[in-house]
Amino acid sequence: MQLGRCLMLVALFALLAGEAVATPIYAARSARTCDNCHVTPKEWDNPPLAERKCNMSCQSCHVDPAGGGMRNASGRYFGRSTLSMIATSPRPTNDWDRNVSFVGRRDRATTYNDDLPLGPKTFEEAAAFADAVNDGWAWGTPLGAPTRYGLLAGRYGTLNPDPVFRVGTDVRFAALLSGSLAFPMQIDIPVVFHPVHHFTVLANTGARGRPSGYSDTFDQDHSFYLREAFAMVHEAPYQAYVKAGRFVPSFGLRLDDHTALIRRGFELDGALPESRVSGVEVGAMPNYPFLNASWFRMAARQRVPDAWDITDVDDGWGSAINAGWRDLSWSVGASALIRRRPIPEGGDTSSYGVYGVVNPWRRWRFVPLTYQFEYDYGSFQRSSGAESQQAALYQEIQWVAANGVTLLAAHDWEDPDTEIVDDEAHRLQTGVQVSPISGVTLDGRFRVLVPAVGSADSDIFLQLHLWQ
Amino acid sequence: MERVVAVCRLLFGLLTLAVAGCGSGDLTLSQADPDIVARSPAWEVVYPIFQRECIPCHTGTEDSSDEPDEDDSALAARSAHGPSGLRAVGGVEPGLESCEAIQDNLDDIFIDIFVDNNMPPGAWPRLTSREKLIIQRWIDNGAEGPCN
Ligand code: HEC
Repeated sequence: MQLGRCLMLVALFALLAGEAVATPIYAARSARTCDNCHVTPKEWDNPPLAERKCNMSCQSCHVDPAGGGMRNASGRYFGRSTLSMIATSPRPTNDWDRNVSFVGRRDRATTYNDDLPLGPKTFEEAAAFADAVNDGWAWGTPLGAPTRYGLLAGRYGTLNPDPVFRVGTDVRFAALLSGSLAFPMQIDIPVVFHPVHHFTVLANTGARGRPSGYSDTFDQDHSFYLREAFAMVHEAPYQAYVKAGRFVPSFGLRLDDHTALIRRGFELDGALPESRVSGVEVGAMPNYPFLNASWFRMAARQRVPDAWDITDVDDGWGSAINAGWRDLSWSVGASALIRRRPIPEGGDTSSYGVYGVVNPWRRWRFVPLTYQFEYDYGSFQRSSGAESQQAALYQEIQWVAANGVTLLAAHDWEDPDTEIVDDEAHRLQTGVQVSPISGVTLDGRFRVLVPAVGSADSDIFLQLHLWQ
Repeated sequence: MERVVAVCRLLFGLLTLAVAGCGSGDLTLSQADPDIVARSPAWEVVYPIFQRECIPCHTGTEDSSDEPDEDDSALAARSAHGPSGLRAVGGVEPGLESCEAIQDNLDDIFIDIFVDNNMPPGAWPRLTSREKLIIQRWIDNGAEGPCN
């Protein structure tokens, strides 16, 4: 291709940048030290299993127990203490000497001595910390008696552990250089309302921006839509919950990278309105084991559901189950998802996935490495009605070179129809993620696609991610 | 640590096997499922593919005064939100936003899709087998559209 034509184009890959989700790899990494998710008390008493909130499942850091989107106080604490170069909540002791050299020990949040802030040891002690909450991003205290199953005051420093109201923002500006230049952009505005203990409503509105401005965004029907909208009963024993509304079914790893080949063919691309379903999901996370199961209805495969009407579904139905064990330095999970619908609506699919994470960093302090993989296989019906199979794989390895600087390499592969000879592709990527301060991440990747026929081609994908 | 290394090795081994074992079949889509697309696909089926997968970058037509006719814009409106999520803003030559422009560049389009398999470019997924089969059969049947 002629490089001379580079940079002559401003095009938009409107959905490429994807919705606001964190990544399961953070969860896998977090168990190496306790004080990356919360302030530690002087002595620790593990509460009974039913009351344990701290585990390696998604609900530890996210409002949505199936993961992704708005973070709770623990997720926000992790972002402030651990993810970035400059800590704005106290840096975990294990990471004190991992700051990049020009930052050194100059952040204001960390004492770098024995005089560390202390949190409550028990639910009973937490009441005394309520006055210490001072949080500009999360407001109020829900009605009703405080619950032992919700997050405790004082454990996340000054962050409000259990607010009534929270508005987040998640903006991604990206540049894709592939013989041309494209600027995808994405805005997410999640709102969480938690008027009484045990009950929460979440609405996440996504807007896909355009480089040529908002007039373009408004031109397209689905530029704004409800990505997630559900009511949830939660803060229950064993972190059990029930939610009902619009969501993406819980299946496999909930990746940040929506271009991942394990998501496209299985209709789980988190950036697309078409991946949304309307239904009910239940789950529980009694410490290491976890389970999410859902039953839902959805719009036909190629039909974009109404942006706001979450009851806009067609005749088919589906069900998903995602379960496994998330231990301190490893996890394994398995998922199954079936869809039953007439051929014109996309036909039947049965998809199965296995996935896992290994985090040797927990044992080996000087090996800040984490590996995760997912392999999916399943049957689907072609538009002719004939049945065939598809398979896809994702694997990624991350090396946290210093606080706020992560190197990564990933490989994914798909065979969208195992009967067909020329449709496979491998994709390799390598890159770096830099987070100078909580709420700002820069991600740069070099990506190569190796299709089964034709030649390999590469691009560079840069992303600025602002989140709160 | 040894256990962790052993687990890593096992996982890598299993994955390699899985990828090798589930490797692609040996039929083309046309052989495996000849009736999956029409024998002679109509322009109305072909154009939305260009609209979705190509025109986001290849906007306009080579001659910028050459406005797309009404049929084209109606189709464009219907397929503006494709599964790939691509959407037009700027333009790379050749512009492919009309029947004439596509006809004028048919040879290059054929090479890029069927020989080089390099469009959409970079690490963006290429056309699916079904999309390719539709375009291939349309070309084989004389590439008919409203302009010819
Ligand atoms: C991400 C933007 C993008 C998309 C999507 C895209 N192209 Fe291109 N295309 C380009 C760029 C950039 C060039 C110029 C490359 C060069 O000549 O170096 C190009 C060049 C071409 C050419 C000129 C011949 C050549 O190879 O130089 C043809 C024909 C073409 N594309 C066809 C297509 C078709 C057909 C599709 C849809 C299946 C498509 N393109 C999708 C960006 C794109």
